[in-house]
Amino acid sequence: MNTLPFMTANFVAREIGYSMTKGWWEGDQAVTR
Amino acid sequence: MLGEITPIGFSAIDLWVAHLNPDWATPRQIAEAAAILNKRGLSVTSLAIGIPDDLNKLEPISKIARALGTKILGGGCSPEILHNQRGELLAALEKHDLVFGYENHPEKDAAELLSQIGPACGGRIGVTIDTGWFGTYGTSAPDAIRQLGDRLIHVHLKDIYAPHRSSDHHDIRVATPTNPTLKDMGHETCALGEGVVGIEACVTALQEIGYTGGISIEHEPEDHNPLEDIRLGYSRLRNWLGQ
Repeated sequence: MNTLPFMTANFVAREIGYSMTKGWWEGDQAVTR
Repeated sequence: MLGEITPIGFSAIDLWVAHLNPDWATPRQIAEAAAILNKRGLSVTSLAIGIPDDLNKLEPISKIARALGTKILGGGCSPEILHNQRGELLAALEKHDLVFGYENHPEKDAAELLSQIGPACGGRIGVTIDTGWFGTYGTSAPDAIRQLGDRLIHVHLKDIYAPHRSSDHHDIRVATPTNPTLKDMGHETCALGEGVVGIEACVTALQEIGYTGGISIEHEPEDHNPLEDIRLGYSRLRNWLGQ
């Protein structure tokens, strides 16, 4: 049976209110901060 | 965050490096993360992290991996390291008992991907397939799975809507002064089965090659919370797998 993980990067836009208009790095940096 | 995904049914995660970064994570933070995951009944299948340009940084990465109970790293790697520092990379992976699955982003098909990653090196170096990027390039992800075969270490199962613009081949993992949105790159992710990748056929292909590893659900919308889409995709995936 395969394990089915949830990828936590799915929440990349969460910290910016799901308004990620400047590309992946906008969300990445918001999470990292 | 974790409290929102366990009600869906998840018992494992792929931990993205931004959530526990080896550049800043302290031993205490790592131990706390392990305890929280354990309390939630969540295992860690892989770390979503690329190979750092400084291979010495694999040591702190390995400490996180070991503490969380995984050996698998899934992400990018510079061609310089893959090709010109391969011996050092392999030695570091062996030293820290890690397995690296190179994740396709710019590669257009399985042949290009296999050329990029080179030989298996005792199973230490393989592929974390991102089915969504093959969709962006109009490449059959199910066919790619069959071609990659036993080089698959991990799967990022991702569906996308039909691209409204062809990608300019920019790799999102590389920051540039003008970062395009995923949608503008022809990479708008969606619930599994709602897009053009052929996710059910991907699952069939994984079963055909006898793949027994992890199948991560990846969906990173820029403009809405993905949880309801992921709930739907998780249900569909379990049904396709017969789980």
